[in-house]
Amino acid sequence: MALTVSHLVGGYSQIPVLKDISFEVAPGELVGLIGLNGAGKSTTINHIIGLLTPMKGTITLNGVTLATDAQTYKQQLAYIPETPVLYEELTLKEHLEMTMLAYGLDQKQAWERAHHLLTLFRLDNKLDWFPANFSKGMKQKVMIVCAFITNAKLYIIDEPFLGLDPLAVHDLLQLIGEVKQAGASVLMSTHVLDTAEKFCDRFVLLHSGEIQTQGTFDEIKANYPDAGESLNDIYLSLTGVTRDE
Amino acid sequence: MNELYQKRLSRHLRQMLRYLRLVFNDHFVIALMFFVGGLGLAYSSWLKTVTPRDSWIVVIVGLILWLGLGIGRVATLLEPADVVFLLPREYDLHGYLVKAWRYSWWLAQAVQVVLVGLTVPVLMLVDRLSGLSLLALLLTQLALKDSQLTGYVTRLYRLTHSQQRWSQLGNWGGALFILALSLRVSPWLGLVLALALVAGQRLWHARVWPTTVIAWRDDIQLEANRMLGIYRFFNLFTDVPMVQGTVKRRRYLDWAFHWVPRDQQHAFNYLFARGMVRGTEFSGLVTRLTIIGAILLYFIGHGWLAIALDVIFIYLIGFQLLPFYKRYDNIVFTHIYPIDLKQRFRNFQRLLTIILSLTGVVFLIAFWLSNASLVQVGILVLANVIEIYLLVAWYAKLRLA
Repeated sequence: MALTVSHLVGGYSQIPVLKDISFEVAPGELVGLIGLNGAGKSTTINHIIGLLTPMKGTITLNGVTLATDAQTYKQQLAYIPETPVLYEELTLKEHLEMTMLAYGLDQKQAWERAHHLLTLFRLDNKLDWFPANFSKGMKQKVMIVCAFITNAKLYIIDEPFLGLDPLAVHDLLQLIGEVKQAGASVLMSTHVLDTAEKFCDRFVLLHSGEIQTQGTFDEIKANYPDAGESLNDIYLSLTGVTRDE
Repeated sequence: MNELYQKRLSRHLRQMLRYLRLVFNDHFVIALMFFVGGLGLAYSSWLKTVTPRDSWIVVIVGLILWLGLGIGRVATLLEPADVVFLLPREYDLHGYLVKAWRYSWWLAQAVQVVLVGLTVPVLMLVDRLSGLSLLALLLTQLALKDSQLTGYVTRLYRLTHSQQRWSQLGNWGGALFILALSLRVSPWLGLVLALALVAGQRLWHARVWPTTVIAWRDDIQLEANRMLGIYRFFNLFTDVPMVQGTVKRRRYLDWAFHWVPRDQQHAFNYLFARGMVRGTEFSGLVTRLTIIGAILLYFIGHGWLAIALDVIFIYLIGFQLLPFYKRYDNIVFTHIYPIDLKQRFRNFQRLLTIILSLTGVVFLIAFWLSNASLVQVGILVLANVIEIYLLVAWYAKLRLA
């Protein structure tokens, strides 16, 4: 397993938000992390990327944890945040260079890949601009390009579909497909359930800090035969939030 | 309406007081004492070289007084929402503006008194003006500022373009003419004319305001600009939330980044160098303090006082640069990059060393130019090296790591 989260208890303060969470992401697999606002998706992600320290439990990435070998752990991980964050003083070109330096990438190879991605997302003529002045969608594309030049083994993508134009969503899904082929794992949190249903290999359904259920779509459907046909229906009935009555 | 201005004024003063307390912190007071002392010393030693034959100086004094009239505007304290909420009571706004005028008058005139006071020694030396004539000059200056402020309030009403222009031109041109008359012909004649200008401005104002509407949008913009100026000033010394440090591309400084090695070990140097050069906040701080320090060192010249000053200024710069290390803490990638904290801190130390060394070199040049002996230059080099080492290797670590 590439990423193993086992018995994770954690949160921002003394009171745990996450209560005993365990799941795995295999190499070449896209796992969807599904949940309502406040279900604990971002908290889970913050634990995996190392912004928060687990109160109990462990997070292992290809055999190493943050505590045993932070350098190796971080080297394998790329992250695309929900809200784009950028260094105000760096141009687009410098954001890419900064990423290459920070991950110790081979500049020539990385630039080849970067140019390919920049053209794909129509950013190739904005290399000397400050992305801090871009629109939200364009900033998000910068985040995507920065993450996908890293050769990471695990990509963490937080709610990628809001703010991107349909073309970019399509290209992003294709990129995810490419890195999966190359053996990387992807963990993606999202609210856009019908897209998730189509593209994710497996799902982890979070509700109030606990895992409601996990597995492939067919497994989940088989476990809850009365819950409905789509991921949307299943999720709503599992969380006990019913709006039709 | 009267109460409204009082309320806004007390809120405004409270806010200003809060910023003043932040500006005049201990470090700054020390630096300021040195600065004022240094300037006073330079001024008094310069006065010794002035003789009555240097009549050109009077022209300079006249220009300084004339330009000094620009200091101090009317604090109308108008806010963007006023155009909606005060619009129905436009007629009553005159009382409000009179209050604003009165408050601003005292503040502005205090500045003018100081300004005239500073020029008195020069005028006594060169022009051999008597005490009474100096008094007349002071009153003239106050009268000119008075009519400036009255004109400012009149222009808050919607005048035509040509009226605006003539009001500005009349005030500034009249002031220049009257000051020239006072200094070259007779202070008393100048005073009479200045008082006539005061009366003229008031008459015009009284005729304009009852029949003219207020130029709300322009006035609110004017007030916003005035406040921004004040905030910018405070921002030189402390963080003002209303003034965000801005980012400038500064392409002409790109060559400076070639010094940073491009590898994983120096990735944060890549970021820090660009952040430092392009962000106005910290680069402005370093530049300002370096220039002020260098000027002071040049004027104070050699001796222990200068060496102490050099040490204090380098400390001031170094200590105020420390928060820069935390500048990128709220950006998630700073924590996600596979670079450990120690490495990031070493990169910051490197940046700090480079900046402080540059400042040290500038100070050294200023010190050397002021004819310090070689021994003292040597002492200064040694002092700088030791201080920078202590700041970077010990103090920064103590505070940040």
